[in-house]
Amino acid sequence: MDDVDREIIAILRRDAKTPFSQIAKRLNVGADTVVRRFGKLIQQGIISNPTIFLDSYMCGFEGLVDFLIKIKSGANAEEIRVQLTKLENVILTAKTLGDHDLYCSVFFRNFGKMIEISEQIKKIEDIISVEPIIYVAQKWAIPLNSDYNPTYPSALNKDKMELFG
Amino acid sequence: MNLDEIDLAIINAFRKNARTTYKKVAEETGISTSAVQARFRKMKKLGLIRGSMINVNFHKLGGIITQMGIKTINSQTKQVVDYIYKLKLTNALIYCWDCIGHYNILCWIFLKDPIELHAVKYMIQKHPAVVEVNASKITEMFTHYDEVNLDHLVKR
Repeated sequence: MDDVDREIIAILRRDAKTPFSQIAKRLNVGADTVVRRFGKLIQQGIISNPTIFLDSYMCGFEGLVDFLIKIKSGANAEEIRVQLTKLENVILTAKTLGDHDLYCSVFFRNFGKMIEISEQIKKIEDIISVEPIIYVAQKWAIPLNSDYNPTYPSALNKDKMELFG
Repeated sequence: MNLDEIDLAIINAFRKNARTTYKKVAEETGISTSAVQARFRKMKKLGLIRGSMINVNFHKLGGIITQMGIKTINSQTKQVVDYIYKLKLTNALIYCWDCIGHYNILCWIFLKDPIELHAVKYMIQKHPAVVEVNASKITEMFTHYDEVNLDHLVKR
């Protein structure tokens, strides 16, 4: 990791579609250097899944719900996580260490649907408790890639979020 | 908003890989490259496509990702959000506030090490309107965003 890598990541975080030639021009390096560095970063798994994100409201979703899930001690967290990925419109699943053990984010089309999903999760074996946190005010789709999310309130300045080295 | 199946195919192709080319998508959908580009631009102008981004795996950079749930005294959520913002954490991301549920604010914070996490948690707890702070370290994360089914967008 050097400054060129960091800059490439920073540019792609804001717009993953930026052509390599443009990145090269901005960083004042050759286009083949950028292509090579990009390939290496992907290969190392430092960056992954370039995607476009959509307006969730226009996609017919009323909101997003996060479920904070506690499981029985000794239960297989990975197994339960895989079951969570089968839920309808789930956009993120994660294993965590701390107050809760698993976490997932799900888009919902209406509140009835949300309650349905919540009930589905409760039925999964070895789950002790499910804590839903609902947000409907924001209309942006969240790609929920591990670091950056353009849905923060406009008061927050995205330039503040820089990669640390 | 009226989308047809080709629009949806374009969206899905770019959701799967934002770096795919218009030419490739054109071959897949059977329309011309310029038509793909025009449709993409139109959907962007409509506001359906908001942008593009890439997943950065902070674990691999040696950092830690924590999710923090913060419970505040009602009606003072905004002050706490401003306060966290003023801490000038380089990698803090408040992605949800004024939410319904146990916590009023949810945020992700990307930190160098557990010592920094401890310091940040302490600083947030110091705010008089903060009732409870819960930090969980995210050990593994998987995104399924490109798998969300959008077939209902096409009116038949």
